[in-house]
Amino acid sequence: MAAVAPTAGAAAAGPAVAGVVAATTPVRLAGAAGGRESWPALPRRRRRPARAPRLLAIGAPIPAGIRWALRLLSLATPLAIWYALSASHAVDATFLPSPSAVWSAGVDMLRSGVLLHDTAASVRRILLGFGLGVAISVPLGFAMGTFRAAQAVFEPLVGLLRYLPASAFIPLLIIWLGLGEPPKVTLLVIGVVFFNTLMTADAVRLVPRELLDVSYTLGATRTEVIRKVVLPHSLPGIIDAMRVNVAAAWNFVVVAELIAATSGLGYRITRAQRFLQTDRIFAVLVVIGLIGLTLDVLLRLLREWVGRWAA
Amino acid sequence: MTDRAAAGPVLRLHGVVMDFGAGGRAVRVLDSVDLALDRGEFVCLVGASGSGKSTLLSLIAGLQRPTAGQIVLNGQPIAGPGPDRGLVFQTGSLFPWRTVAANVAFGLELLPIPRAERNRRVQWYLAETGLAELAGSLPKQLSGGQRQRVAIARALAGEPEVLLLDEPFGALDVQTKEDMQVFIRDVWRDTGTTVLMVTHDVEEAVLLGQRVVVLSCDPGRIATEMPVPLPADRTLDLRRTPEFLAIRQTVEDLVRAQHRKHLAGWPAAVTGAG
Repeated sequence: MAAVAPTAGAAAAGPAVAGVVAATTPVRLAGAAGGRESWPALPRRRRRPARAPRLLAIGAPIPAGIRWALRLLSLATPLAIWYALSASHAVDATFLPSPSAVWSAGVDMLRSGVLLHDTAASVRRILLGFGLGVAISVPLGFAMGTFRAAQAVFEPLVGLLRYLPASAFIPLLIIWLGLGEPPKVTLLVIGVVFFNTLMTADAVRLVPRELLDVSYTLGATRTEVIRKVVLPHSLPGIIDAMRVNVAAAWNFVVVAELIAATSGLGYRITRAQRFLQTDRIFAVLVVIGLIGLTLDVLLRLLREWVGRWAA
Repeated sequence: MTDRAAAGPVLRLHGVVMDFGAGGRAVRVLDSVDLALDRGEFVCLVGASGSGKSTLLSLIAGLQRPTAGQIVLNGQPIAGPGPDRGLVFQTGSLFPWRTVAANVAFGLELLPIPRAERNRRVQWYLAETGLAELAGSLPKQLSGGQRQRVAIARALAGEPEVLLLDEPFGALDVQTKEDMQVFIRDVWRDTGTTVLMVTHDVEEAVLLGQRVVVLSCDPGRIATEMPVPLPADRTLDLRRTPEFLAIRQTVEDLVRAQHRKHLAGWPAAVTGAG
């Protein structure tokens, strides 16, 4: 340390002196002199020549053929296990119906029109409940993401409410709204609105400060910045939030229909349970899964199209 | 001074002071900065980190208000940001969902001018900045240098009184940076705009500026202004001439002295007792 003391001393002596020192002394790198000679050499780890474990290399792309094979496997394996379990009669068919039984139960319900009727009823509730939830949460979240004041007003409340499980509102909703459609739709709204608000606000807050600044210097007013910058920038994120929360809406529509309903996929499940028709329950579950998957894929495509500018 | 220097300065700063924070904990970033830019002038502002040079640009752009002092553009005190002071940041800040042409058109779309007139202007600036081929590309398809060209074209389309460049080539590789230095001189010559460019690269400042202003640190003050008496037609080879090297060395010493002073304000442990 003795070697560096003079410079430090000079630097501490005041700006005027420091200026003189700077002009005459070359810049020296910091570090202790000497002592390193006594250190033992760092051990080197022996590496086996990389026989690339392609599939397990972190973050590395895999061949398209293998990717599709793995995807297929992820669906085929549980199906195969299911088939094996029911074919070997290891599990009673009452508890685990065979895939073919589920298929024919599904076809049966489709032929009788029950399945379409119930699907339509559930989809209608989703459209209404999720739609209402989005209609409330997107403007609210947009405001929270744009204005700190709106964030300060709504964030504590929304942050608290989202921790209340929507299903816990069912008894209250029945007392308040009766047994018809309103409590079911309201349950969906409650299940969707808080999360979607906060996720929308997060997406809106991601607009870079510099982009806003540059817009103002190009002459944009506050309203124009919101319309022409904040909205297009956050749109993909808003759609992403909707994609996550429409899945929640599907969960809640089934929950809502388990109680006091006369139609819908959830109702069909409860009804099938009463008659121990597990094949029908399975068939309805498959339908719910397929609809969910379709929605997810559609919203993902929409998001990719809207956000095609993203790097 | 070129023959473009018309009557009176286009931009004038009077005793501009900027504090961050308030009360006892306020930190003075800029202190009594006086500066005047003549119309058509190319001025480079150099200073070590912490000299508040970016803050100064943001004040001129109107994105922040000075704690004290006045900034006057064409005799009018500025009131907030506007297209009469075009700003370009270090990394483009392009609208990623807009094509190159649409980025350049952004400011013009806000004005009541016919579409044909808007397109004509956009085409002109795209051609001037060598972007005509890329008009339909998205920012993600561009290189760093191309993005900066778009940002400059976008700022110029608003016909600013002053073009404010905040370390515009700081994130580019050396070869691209050299291209851009030639480019910005050409644009300046062709458009006759006034340029105030912030940089920490002294060589760049001397190569481009007709005048170099050195900011001091803690707080930022104007330490020195010096004219750069080099020919108007500047090429990259100019950097090897003795005249250039002499000016560059003088400015470098000034900046380094300010940087030392800045470090002196820190405890030795932080600076590594440099």
